[in-house]
This record gives sequence, C-alpha cells and structure tokens, in this order.
Amino acid sequence: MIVKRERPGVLDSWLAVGVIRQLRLDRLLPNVVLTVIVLICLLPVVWAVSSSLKGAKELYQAVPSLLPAHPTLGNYTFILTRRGMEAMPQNLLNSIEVSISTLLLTVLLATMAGYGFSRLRFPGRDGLFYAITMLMFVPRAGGLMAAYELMAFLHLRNSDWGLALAFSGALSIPIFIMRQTFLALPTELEEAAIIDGANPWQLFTRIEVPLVTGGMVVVAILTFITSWGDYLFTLTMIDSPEKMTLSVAIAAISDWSSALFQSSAFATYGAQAAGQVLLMLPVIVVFILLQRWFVRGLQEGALKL
Amino acid sequence: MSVLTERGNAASATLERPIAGRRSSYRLYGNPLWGYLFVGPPLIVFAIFNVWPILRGIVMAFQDYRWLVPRTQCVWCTNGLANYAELLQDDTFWHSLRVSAAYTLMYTPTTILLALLVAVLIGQVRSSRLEGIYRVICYLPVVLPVTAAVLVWKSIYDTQFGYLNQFLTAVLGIQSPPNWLGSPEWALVAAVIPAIWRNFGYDMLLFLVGLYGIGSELYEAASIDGAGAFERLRFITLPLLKPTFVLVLVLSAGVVSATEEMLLMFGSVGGPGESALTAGLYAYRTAFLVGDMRLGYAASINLVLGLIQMAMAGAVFLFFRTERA
Repeated sequence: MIVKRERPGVLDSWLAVGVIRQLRLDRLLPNVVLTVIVLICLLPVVWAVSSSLKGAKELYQAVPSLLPAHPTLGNYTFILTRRGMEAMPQNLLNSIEVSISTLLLTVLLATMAGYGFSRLRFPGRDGLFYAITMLMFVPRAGGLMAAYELMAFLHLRNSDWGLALAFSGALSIPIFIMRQTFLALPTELEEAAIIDGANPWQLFTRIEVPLVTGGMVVVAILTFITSWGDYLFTLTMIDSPEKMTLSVAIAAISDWSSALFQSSAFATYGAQAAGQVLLMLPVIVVFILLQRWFVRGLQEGALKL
Repeated sequence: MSVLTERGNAASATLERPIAGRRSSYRLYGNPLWGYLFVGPPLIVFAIFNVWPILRGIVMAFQDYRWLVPRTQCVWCTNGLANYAELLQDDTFWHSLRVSAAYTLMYTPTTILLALLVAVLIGQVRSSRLEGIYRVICYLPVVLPVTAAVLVWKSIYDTQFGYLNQFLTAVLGIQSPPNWLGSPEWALVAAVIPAIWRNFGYDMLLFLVGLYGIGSELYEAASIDGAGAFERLRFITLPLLKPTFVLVLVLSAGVVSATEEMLLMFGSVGGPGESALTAGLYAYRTAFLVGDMRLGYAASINLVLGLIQMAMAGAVFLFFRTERA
C-alpha cells in the first residue's frame, strides 16, 4: 500500500534568504512541466474525439483545428450502418464476447491456481510456481508461428472461443497476483472450517473466493484491457470480416488499400476516428473508474518482482 | 514485502502442524490430490497455449516450414542450420536488423529518461489529488488499444489535415515541417513517437514505486548535511533506484521485436523505402503475408531476435550487478 509522505522537495533549501522565491519555484516548476506532459498525453485522445465529431467540410479544411465548430454524429452512424460497414456492429459484439469470455476464464483459472499454489500442498508446488512466473520473461521465438499451427490443428482459428482460450493461456501474471492475494489472507477462518470438517473445495468456494474479490477484479481489468486491445494475435488467427474483433476491423478500414472501404475519401478520417473512439471508450471508462484497484494491483506485482 | 512473505510462511506453517483432534480432515487438506485438482486445469491451458508454442517455435526455427506447402510440414524434422545460412545472405534481414537497432536506440533511452523525469516530478507534487491525476493521465496511453493509439497518431501526422504540422508551423514557427509518413528519413521517427507516448507511463509507474520506497529520512539527513537539490538526486535517488532501473531495462529489451506499431502505421511494406521495416515486421511478413508463408524462416528470425533480447537482459544484469532488495 503506497502511503504518500511529506518529503522535502528537490528544490527545497534550508537557507532563509530567498525561501519564498524558492518555495514558489518549487511548487510551480513540477506542475508546469507535468501539465505540458499531461496535455501531450491527452492530445491524441482529444484529436480522435474531435475528428470523430467533425463533418466532412471541417475535416478537410485547409487549416486543421483542434476542436470541431459544428459537431455532428454523422461519422458514428456512418461507421455502424453504411454500406461497406455491415460487419462493424458484429465486430463490436465480437470484441465484447471475446473480452468477457477471456476475463471470466482467466479469473477462474487464475483464482484456482492461486489458491492451489498458496494454500494447498503437493510435491513440486513451489518449483512449478517459479517456472510459471519465470516463463513470463522468456522471449517468444516463433511463438506466433507455432500458435498459428496449433490453432489450425485444433480448429480454433476463426472462432471467438478459440481466441478466448488462447488469451487465457497467459496466466503468469494473473496467477502471480492471485497467489499474492491469497497469501495475504489470515488463516483463522480456514482453520475453524477445517476443524468443522470442510474439504478444500468447500473452503475455496465458501471462504476464500469471497475474500479475494479484490485480486479477482484486478486480474479481470488487466485481462479485459489486454484482450480488448489485442491486434497482432487476432489478426493472425481470424480471416473472415464477420469474425473480426473491433481492434482489427478499425485497422482494416484505415488501410487505404483495403477492399473493405468502398466510399470515396469524403468521410475517411471522420469515420476512422469514430471507430477509434469506439475502440478507446470502454478501456478509458474501465480504467478511470477502477483506477484505484488497477494501480494497486500493478504495484503489488511490480513490488514483488 | 517481507511482512507478506512472513505471513505467507506462517500460513503454510500452521497448516503443516496437525490440528489437534481432527487428523482425518488435516490429511485430506494436505492430500496432494486436491492440489492437483486446483492447479491442474489452469496448468493444462497454460501448457497448451503458452508453453507449447514457445517450445514448438524454437524447433520451428530450425525447420523449413512452409504453411502453403504441405510436404514441408513436420513436427520434428529439422534442416539443421540452413535457415541461418540463408539469413546471413538475406539483405532484407540485415536491413531490418539495422532498422530495429535504430528503433531501439531511439526508443529506449528516451522512454526511460522521460519516465524517470516524470516520476521525479510527480514525487515533488504536494497535493495528493493532483499527483493522482497526473499519474492516471500519464498512464492512460498504456492501456489504450494499440490500434487506436497508432492510427490516431497516423492521422495527426498527416501533412495536409493532421494537427502536428499545423501546430509546428503556426505555434512553433517551423517553416517546413517534415513529411512524417512519406519520407524515408522521418518514417522511423514517426513510428517511435507513438511508442514512446504509449509506454513511458508504464516505466514511470515502476519508477514511482521505486521512488516511494526511498525513505524521506535520507533526504532530510542529506539536507541537514547541506546537500543541494541535485546532489540529493545524484547521491540518493539515482543509486537507490538501481533495482528499478534493472527491471525497467530488462522489460524494455523486448522492444527489439517490435512489430505491431510498424504494421499498423505503414502496412506490410514497412514504410517509404522500407525504412521502417523492423526485424519483427519482416518476420511477420515472411510468415503470414507473402509467398509460401514461411513459418520456419520467420521463426528463425524471431529466434535471433530472442537471443539478442536475452543478451541485452544479461548485459543489464552484469552491468548493474545489484543485489535484489
């Protein structure tokens, strides 16, 4: 748990002379620089939103402006209903399906494994856990190519479930997080239940799981963000336009050599921007609302590393 | 950190002692079968979709495996080092390796320094709420989907309708801003900037965590001894951040195989004159986008990249030679 403590600032000085001037500079400088950086961080997002709300005339005016003077929702209707974009609503649904299935599956598997690695005893437990964790750092040589062969062999290409299963394979970080969460729990409740004759499954469902919902939420958020935004793996595994996820579809319509994009350049950037906003929106919402949990989970993972 | 480990040990220690009066349930609890039951299914999924591709990929790196030519497809046959002999002759490969090197050199120091700078600055902010806001917004690009991030930058780079050149000429007064996406000199730079923008937040967070671990007593003692601002930075902050540096550098080694950003920004061509064709993109193209779909050859390229990555991580460890806290 990070506790913010008062620290002497970098520009503090114990000299009485010029203390006031020093103090002001001390407070001003970091904030000014940080504000500039924050604006740069936000610029692309603002640009995407404003482009998506601009009509064609504004998009292609000689001097591009940052904010739309006459906002319109035309680009959104374009990207969801126009001829040539029929697959888009389905792509959106696919993304939602894949992400939700992935996060449910991952949370389930990670929680089970986390419980097993922390509370149960079996030969090779710790070695296995370290192996799983260290695998995170092994560079993936030819992993995507081998995965291609594997998925084709299992007939899992071009399917939402296949994607969800494949994404759920990335269990190193989730198991790590869940195990940490379990280890931090006191054992008194469990011991009482054991004395009453509970078996591990009952312990798991009745006692442990309700106590680790925090960790489960962190894993869920991380998994959602990763699977929602995935591009390369999905691109490799899915061929048909109806089965694509939103991430891949947006990229496809932005590629000027793509056959999907039939209309003239008239609404190019606007519709693309609308797609990008649709892609970014769920992630931003999830992130800001649950930022507290998210940062804590990441810090726990990083601290232990 | 040590508190948690101790508690963890205490937890398993309690379970190791037989609980008086209920030996049968204890034995059930300590029965390895339960352990396998809980750990089994996750391990199966992990093994199939995570471990197997790694192993298979390494084997594939020694095969001439072409997806569109069935007779070359086998699981265990190898053609020795033929792939690597071919790699040595492959001009495009060497070009892509140079591009990757340039990309890494542009990306890594910039990202790490920027992350460090932002982390130190955020540490100076007094108000907790303001600090939280800065942190969240700086981390936001990290979670954005790659596709959206790169494509937005692509439209910002547009010389006619994009905002960047407009900003450069109107606000900063630069006369002829570069043709970001169209000129071979600038294309790679154009690809690096979104990557830095996207990833510096992650490193920044790691630095922040390291920074908060440094007790304020050290700074106070140094102030009393007369250390100025930059002395404190040099002699306290930076040395104590060494473990974080190691972590950040090791995690950044993966950038040698950057593929997605280039693919999204420039398509399979790899930019004007292939100036942005990183090795990762070249491998992907060879495997999935052109010709016979030579998965084997592409796996070889990735293996070389992986070895470079491990060498870099090893170099970092050797250079720092830190003990883990």
